[in-house]
Amino acid sequence: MNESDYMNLREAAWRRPHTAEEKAQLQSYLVIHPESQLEWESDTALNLALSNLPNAPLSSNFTARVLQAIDLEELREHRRRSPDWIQRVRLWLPRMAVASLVVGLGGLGYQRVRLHQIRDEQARSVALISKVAVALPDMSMWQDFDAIARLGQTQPSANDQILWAALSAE
Amino acid sequence: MANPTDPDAALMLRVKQGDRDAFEELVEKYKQPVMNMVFRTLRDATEAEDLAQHVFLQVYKSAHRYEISAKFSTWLFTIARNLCLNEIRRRSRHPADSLDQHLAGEEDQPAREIGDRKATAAHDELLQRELVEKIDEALADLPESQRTAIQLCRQEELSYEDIAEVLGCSLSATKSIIHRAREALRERLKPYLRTGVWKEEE
Repeated sequence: MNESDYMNLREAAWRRPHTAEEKAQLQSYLVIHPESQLEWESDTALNLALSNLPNAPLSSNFTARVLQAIDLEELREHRRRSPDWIQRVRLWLPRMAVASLVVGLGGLGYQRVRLHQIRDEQARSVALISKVAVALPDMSMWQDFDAIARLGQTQPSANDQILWAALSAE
Repeated sequence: MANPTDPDAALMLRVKQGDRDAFEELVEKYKQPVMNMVFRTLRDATEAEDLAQHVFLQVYKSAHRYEISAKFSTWLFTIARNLCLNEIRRRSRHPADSLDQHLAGEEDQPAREIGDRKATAAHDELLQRELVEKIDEALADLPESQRTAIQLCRQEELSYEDIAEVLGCSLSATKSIIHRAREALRERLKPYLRTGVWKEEE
């Protein structure tokens, strides 16, 4: 057995335990090459150390989370592949709904404000009229109003006209 | 080259046709090996788990590109390695958390512990824990290709040819990488290897 064969045996031991035949071959080699004994022992120790490395910590729901991530990815892919108009509807419908709500609420709010303003104006008008009504003369004063008004519409007599002209000339 | 009777390849063919149960089976089988590889690259359990999930998500999304001629485990670990490399590059551009940071070596910082399930006596358990930390530190100090090669060597289903395919180099170059990695580890762990703690029970 040569050094190349010895190397092959070492490489085999890195991955799996030796077979009985391989162990025998190795022993034969080491008897002839005792200088390789120490190297072989540290190699063996390292093999054991690496094989005894504990597993990395892993969540118990790892697989479930992978499948969940796939579901999410497929949903994204489905949305990406939807026809343009559906995507546009999906994009704009909620925005329009919100905008309509905002405009509607704004309109309602404005209407309420205007209503209050109108009521305030009406109240002020009523108050004003009440003040004016108090200052007005008694209604009985108006009972001869028509007669008085007709008096103002009659033409003056001829004598009155001559007298007025004379007075004006002076 | 995939064995025509390779069960993983058969499962992947079903995944290509949208079989989620087949995919779940593959995840269950390889989640720990992938996590082991990613964890020993990133050195953070939370980030490693996120990346490991991303590996399987990528596998699912790329299922249509899987060729039956390729061995599934080789393809899977190639994806895992590529994503690890992307993360290493991203971190080198944004070094908020350096990969070379050895928190385990700082006395006032708790080590990133890996659960140990094999030691029984308290003293042996402490010693074992210390040895595991030393191995992890030594692995972290290796160049990426050497560290990945050592990790892949732990996967029994991967031959040296498969490991060469994942690393993207020749078989002889791969064995050379592994050899150099082991030399570095033996040198680094010499005091511990001499204690005989890892001697095989006869």
